[in-house]
Amino acid sequence: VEVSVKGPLDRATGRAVDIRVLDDLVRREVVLPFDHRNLNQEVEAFAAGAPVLVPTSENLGLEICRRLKRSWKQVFPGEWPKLEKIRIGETARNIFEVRANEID
Amino acid sequence: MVITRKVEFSASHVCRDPQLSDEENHRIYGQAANPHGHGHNYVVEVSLAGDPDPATGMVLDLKELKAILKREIVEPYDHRFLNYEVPPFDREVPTTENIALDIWRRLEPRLTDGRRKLHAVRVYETPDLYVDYFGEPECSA
Repeated sequence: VEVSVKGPLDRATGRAVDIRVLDDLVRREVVLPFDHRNLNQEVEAFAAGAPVLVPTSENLGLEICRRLKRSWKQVFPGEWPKLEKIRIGETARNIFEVRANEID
Repeated sequence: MVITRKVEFSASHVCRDPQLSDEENHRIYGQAANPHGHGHNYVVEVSLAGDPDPATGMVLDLKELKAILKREIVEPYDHRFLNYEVPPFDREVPTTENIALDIWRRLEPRLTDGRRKLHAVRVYETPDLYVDYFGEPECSA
């Protein structure tokens, strides 16, 4: 999974995003809930509810994007940086991209 | 959302315009104008834009996309000498730009429908050189 973030360069730090903050967010919202899980049985978005949501990479991409957006303002309260898109390499040949402005 | 699938093919080509002199061809295309041709391992990335079907959760069944790319790109192009065996390169110079255009023309009618549209064709001639084509801009009425 690639997470792309957009923002102006901070002149003082020379960075557009505090990578530690981003890493913590991605670990909490993506890696911990999904890693080594059976998505169909253990991850709420795909296990609960009717009709059932099939964990295709399309739906996984939407769910990851939703989770990151939901927590974004808690960790990045300012105008920048913004979540730009996420990209899932399901295999080396199949790639799925969701832009943050595509979803609520 | 955008989904992308990658395929590869190997082909040979020569970049020369038969109407022009050897000197002119060499000036425009350099070594690629050598009439005996040379080969590339091309990599093609095909991107589709659309929303997943609510029932299947898929923009397009990837098995179906794989079959379309095999039929429309790999089978006609792979292990061919493009100038001699693959129209329109009997009359168009098979530059990476023209290959991207031809792939777009082959795929667009197979992939664009009410649910999804062909979004981009990226053709790598080498790992360091690629062309992106997004189709013609839509008419603004």
